[in-house]
Amino acid sequence: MTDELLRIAFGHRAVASTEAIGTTLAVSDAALQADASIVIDVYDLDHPVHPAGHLGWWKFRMAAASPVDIRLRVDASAVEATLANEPPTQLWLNPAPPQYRRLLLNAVVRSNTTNAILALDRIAAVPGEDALVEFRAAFDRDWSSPRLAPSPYIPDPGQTIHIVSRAIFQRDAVGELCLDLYRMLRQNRIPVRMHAEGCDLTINDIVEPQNLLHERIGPADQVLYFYSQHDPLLEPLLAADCARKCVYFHGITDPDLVRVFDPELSVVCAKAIAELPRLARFDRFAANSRHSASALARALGPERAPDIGVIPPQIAPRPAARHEDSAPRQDALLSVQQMRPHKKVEDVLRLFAAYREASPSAQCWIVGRAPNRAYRDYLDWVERKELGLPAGAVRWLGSVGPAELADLYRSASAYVSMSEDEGFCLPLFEAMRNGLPVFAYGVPAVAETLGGSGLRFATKDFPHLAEHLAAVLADPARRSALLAGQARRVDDLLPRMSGTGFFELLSP
Amino acid sequence: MNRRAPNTAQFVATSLRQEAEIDHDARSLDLALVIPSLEKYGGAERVVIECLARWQKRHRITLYSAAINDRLLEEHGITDRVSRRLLTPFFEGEHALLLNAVLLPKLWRDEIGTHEIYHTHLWPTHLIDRHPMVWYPHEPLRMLHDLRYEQKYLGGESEGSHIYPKYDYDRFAARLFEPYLGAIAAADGTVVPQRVVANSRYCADYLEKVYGRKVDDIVYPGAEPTTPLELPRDPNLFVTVSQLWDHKRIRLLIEALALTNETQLIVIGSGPERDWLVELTERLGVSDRVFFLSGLKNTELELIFARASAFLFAPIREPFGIVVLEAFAAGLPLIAVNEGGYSELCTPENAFLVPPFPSAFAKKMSLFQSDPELRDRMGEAGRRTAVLYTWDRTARELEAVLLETAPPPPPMEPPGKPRHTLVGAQYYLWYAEGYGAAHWNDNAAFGHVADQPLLGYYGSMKGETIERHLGQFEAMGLDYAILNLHVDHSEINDIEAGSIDRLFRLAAERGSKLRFAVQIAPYSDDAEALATVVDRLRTQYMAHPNYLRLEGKPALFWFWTGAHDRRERLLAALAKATDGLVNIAAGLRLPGGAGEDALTHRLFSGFAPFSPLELADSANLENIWNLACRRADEAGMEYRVVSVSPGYDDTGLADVRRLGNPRRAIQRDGGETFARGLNWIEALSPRPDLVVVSTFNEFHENTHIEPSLGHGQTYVELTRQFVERLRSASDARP
Repeated sequence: MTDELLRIAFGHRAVASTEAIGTTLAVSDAALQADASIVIDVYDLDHPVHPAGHLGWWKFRMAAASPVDIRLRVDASAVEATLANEPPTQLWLNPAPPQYRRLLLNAVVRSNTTNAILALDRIAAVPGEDALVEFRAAFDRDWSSPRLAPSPYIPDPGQTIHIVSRAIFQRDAVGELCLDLYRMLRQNRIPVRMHAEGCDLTINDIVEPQNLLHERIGPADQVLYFYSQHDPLLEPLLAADCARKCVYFHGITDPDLVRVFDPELSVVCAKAIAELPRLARFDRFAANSRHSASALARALGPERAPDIGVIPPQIAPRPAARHEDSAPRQDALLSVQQMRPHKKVEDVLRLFAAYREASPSAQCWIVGRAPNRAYRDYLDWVERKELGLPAGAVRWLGSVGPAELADLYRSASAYVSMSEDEGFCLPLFEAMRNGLPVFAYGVPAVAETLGGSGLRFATKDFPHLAEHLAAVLADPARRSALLAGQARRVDDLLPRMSGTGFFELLSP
Repeated sequence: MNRRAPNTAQFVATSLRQEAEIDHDARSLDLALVIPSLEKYGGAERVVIECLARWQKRHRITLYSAAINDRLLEEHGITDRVSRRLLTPFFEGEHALLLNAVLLPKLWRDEIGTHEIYHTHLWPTHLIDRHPMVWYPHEPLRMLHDLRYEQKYLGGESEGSHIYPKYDYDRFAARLFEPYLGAIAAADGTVVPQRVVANSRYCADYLEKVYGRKVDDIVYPGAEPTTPLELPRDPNLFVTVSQLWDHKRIRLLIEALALTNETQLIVIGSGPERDWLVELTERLGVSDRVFFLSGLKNTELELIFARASAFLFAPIREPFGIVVLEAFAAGLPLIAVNEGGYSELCTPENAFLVPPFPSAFAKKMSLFQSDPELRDRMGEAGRRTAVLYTWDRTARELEAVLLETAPPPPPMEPPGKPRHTLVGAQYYLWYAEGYGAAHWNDNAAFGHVADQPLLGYYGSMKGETIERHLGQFEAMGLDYAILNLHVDHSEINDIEAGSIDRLFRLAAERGSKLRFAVQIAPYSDDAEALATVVDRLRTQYMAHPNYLRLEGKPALFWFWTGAHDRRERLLAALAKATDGLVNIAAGLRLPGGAGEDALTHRLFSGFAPFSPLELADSANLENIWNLACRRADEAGMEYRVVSVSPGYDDTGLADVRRLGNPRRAIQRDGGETFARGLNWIEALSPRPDLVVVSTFNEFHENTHIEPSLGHGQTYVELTRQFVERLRSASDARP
C-alpha cells in the first residue's frame, strides 16, 4: 500500500543561498508514472501568501528518473529555473515581485488533468551558511539540557521509538510535547525519531516526513502517535509492522467553532471525529485530560475505556517547582494562546473593554502566534471598531520565548481564558504556577485543569464579569485565598508532569 | 402596476408616489398568508418573514403553513399578533410528488379559513383556490418547463425530483415522471388568482409564457442594509450561497476554482447534492480549497461576506436570487451566469455576467485576485445598488397590491342595533344517516327519537339535507340559524363540524341571505381547548359573508348550563378568546339579574332561556318569560334575546340526570303552546333584538318545528306567519 504513495522530496532540507539554488528532487516511482507535472513554487518565507508574497512558479514535464537536478537563479534582474536542465513548460512570474530576505521553495507534483496537488515538499533557502546556522538555532539541539526525567528501565536492544504527529511546530502544545519527549528519550539514550507531515522548516533536519515512516520502522520498534486531527496517513501507520503502537489523544476541536475563519481546519476536525473509532487498533492509549479520555472512550467503545491513561501534556524540567508570587504586578490582563477562532480572543478583548470602565489605565497583554490571518484581522476590527479601544491598551505580543513569557506571567494582574474548546489548556497551569489569578470560561477541560481552583464562569456577561474581576483583584484576602487554592492545584499537577507517565506508556 | 428595476431617480419618485397612494391607516385587511413551509431560510421564506414583520401591526394576519419555525419569526420580531395555523404536512413515499402537487393544496383549501384576501407564496399554493388571491409564486413549477429535462438521475430506473420546499428528492420510477407531469400540468392552470406577482421581469415573462396571461405586478425582494464589517478582503476567498441542488450548478463553480491558483471557495447551504459535490472536490484535488458550510448564524455569514473577494452565482435561470442582493449589500462584487432575474440589477459596474463555463468564471476570479482595486470599486457599486432594494420597499409594494385586490370593505352597518327583530332557530347538525345511526335512536340515554322528520332519518352532513333545510329556513323567512357544536374533553363533534363546513359552502353557492352563528356547547372546562375552537371558528367562518354579525361583530352562542358559573379563570380565558365577538347565552338557568356579573363576569351580551317551557308551570309561563327579560335587562345585557318552543318532551330519554326534572313533558296542544310564546314575543316592549326558536330539529326533546310525521308542516307554517307579522309590525313602526 505504502509503495503506491506519490512522494517528492528535496535532496537538501535547507539551502544556504537565495540566489543560486541547486539541489535535487527525489521522486517516487508512483509519481514518475503519474500523468502529472512538477511545479517549483517560490514564496517569501516570511510572507508566503499569494499574490503579495509570491515570486512565481515554474511547471516542468514529469522527470524521467529520480533523483533529478533542480536549479534556480533568483536575483534582481531575473528569475529562472530548470529541472534536469530542461526549461519549464509553463511559468508565472509575479509582475510586482515581493521584497524578501529568505525564500520558501515548494516542490509540487500536480495532476495534468485537474491541476490537483498530488505530492509536496517544502524547504527554506537562506542567504548563506551563517544564516543557515542562525536558522537552525531557532531550536536548541543541546539534548542534555534542560534536565528531564530519567528512564526507569533499559530499552530492548535495537528498538527505536518513533514519535509521529501530523504536525510538529515549536510553541504549539502538541509540537512542544513531541520535542520535549524527543529530548527526554535522547537524554536517556533511547533511540528515537520524529515524523510529521508538517513541521517548522527550522527543524526539518530532525523531523522526517511522515510518509517515509514505513521505510524507517522496524519490527522491534514502538510508535507513539499524537492524535488531534484527521490523518490521511493513519491507515499506513496502523498497517506498519512494529512491536507496539501507542496513541496519545489531545482532543479534537469542535469544527463549528472554527468553520468561519478556518474552514480547512474545520473539515480536518470533522474528519478526525469521524475516524476516531479507528484508533481502537492501537495497543496502548493515553489522553491529556479526563475530558479528552472520555471523548476517546466514547469513540472506542466501553471495553477500551478503562485502558486509557491520563498524562498531562507537558514534561516539566527537573527540579519542578512553583514560582513564588513576589514581583510587583501591573494592572494588566494576560491571555496566552495560539490565535485560533475557538480560543475566542475577541471575548478577552470584550472583557477587557468592560474592565477598563472601572480601571481606565489597565492593559491587556495577548501572547501567541496568529497563524490565521483572517482571524487576526477580525480581532483587529473588534479591538479598534467594535470596542474602540485606544492604541496601546492592548499589547499584541506575538510568539514570545520562555523567559519573556515567564516575565509576563509574573507581571500581569490576572490571567483570562475565554476559550470554548480545550483539551487541557497549559497556559492556565503556567498562570497558576506563576501565582497569577485565573479567570476562565469553564469548558470541561478548563474546569478539570483548574481542579476547583481559580475563578470559573459559565456566562459571558462582560460587564458582570468585569465587576467581579475588579472586586477580586481589589480584595487582598480574596486574592490570597484564590492564589492559595491555585498553588495547591499546581502542587497536585506538577508530579504528574515529570515525564514518567510517558515512560510508563512506552515501558516494555 | 408594472414595476421594473428602477434607477435611483425612478426609485425615489416611485417610492414617494406609493407612499402617497397607500394610506396605511385607511384599511386593515383580514389577510390569510399561505406558504408551504416556513421552517428554514429560503428566498420565499425571507420575503414572507420580512413582510410579516412590517405588516403585522396594520393587518389581521393568519399565517398558514405545513411547518412553522417560531424561532425564525421571533428573530424578526414577529409577535403572536400573527396567528399561526399548521396545514397538513407533505406526503412522503409512493407518488408523493404527485400528491404534494395536486392533492395537498386541495386539503389545505379546506384547512384555511375564510378571510378577506388570500396571499399565497410558491407553487402550488394557487391551487388552494381561495379568493380573492394574490399569488407570489417566486417561480413556476420549473420541472414542468425549463427544468423538465434536468431531473436527477439516481441510478437504475430511478429518477429524483422535488417540489420546493422539500429538502430531498422524491424518488420514483423514471417511467412515471412524464405521466406525473401530465397530471400536474392539467391541474396547474385550473385556478386563476386575481393577481400574480413576479419577483423580477424575467420571472414575469416566464409566468406569462406558462399561464398565458399578462403579469404586470413585479415586486423585487430586498436586502437589509448592513453596517459593513471593515475587514481586509482575502483576494483568494470566494463565496456562494445556495441550496445544493443539481440546477444550482455548484459543480461549475468548483471546476472554475480548480482552474485558478490559490483560490478558496466557501459554499454556504445544504441539500441532497452535498456528498456528491464533496466527492467531486476530492476527485478534482481541491478538497482543501472548497468548504461546505451550513446552519450559519447571521454574524458568521456577515464575517464571511466581509472577508470574501467576490460572490459567485451560477444557477440555471434563477427567477430572482435574493442572495445576490445580500452580497451586494455586503459590498461584494458578483461573478454570475448571464441569465436569471438578478441580472436585472446587474451593471458592468457591479458584476461580471459570464456564460456558464468554468473557464469564464475562473478568468474573472483571477482578475479579482490580481486587481483588488477593481474588486473594491465593483463591490461599492454593488452596495449602492442594494440600497435601492430594501425590504421596506418590497413590503410596501406587495401591500399595495393586496390593498388594490381586496374587495371593498362591506358597507358600514348603521350605528345601533338591527332595525328589525331577527328571528332564528336552533339547528342541530348532529344526525348521522339512517335509523340507528348517531342521534336517531342510537342509544337509550340520549338518542331516543319518537317522531320522524318528513325527510326521513337524514344525515346532517348530506348536501341534500342541508339544501332542503336551508330552503325551509328561507321559506319561513328566518334571518338566521344557530349551529350547535358540541365540545367535550376528547374533541368537537365531527358530524357537526363537517356539516357546518358544508353548510357555509352551500349557503354561499346558493347565494342565500341567511346568516348563521355557531353555538358552542362547552362540555369541557379546558380553557385552552375551548379557546382553540373559538380561534378555529374565527378563522374558518366568522369572516364568511353568511356569518351572523351584530353591529359588525360576529355572534357566538353558548349553550350555558350554569356549570361554568363563577369559574373565574375559565371565564377570563373565554373572554380573552372571544374578544371582538358578541357572546350570547342560551341558558338552562334564568339570567342572574344584577348578580349575573358575579356568575359570568360580563362574558355575555345577551342571555335567553334555551328551553322556555321548562321554567314554570303552564299558568306562570308568561311571568317567568317576563322575569327572564327583566333579569337580562338588570344584568345590563346589550341585546334583548328571547326564545320560544313548540312544546317539550324528553320522557323518552333514559339519562338518569333528567329523572328529577319537574317538567319533562309540556304538551304542544296542537300549536297552542307555540302560539302562546309567539304572542308573548309580539307583545313585548321594547321589542327583542333576537328571537330564537328553540328548536328547528331537536327531536330528542321534541322541541322540533321541522316538518315531521307527527306534526306535519304546522310549526314551520306558524313560524312563517309569525315572521310575517313581525315584519309587518316593524315596517309599520315609524
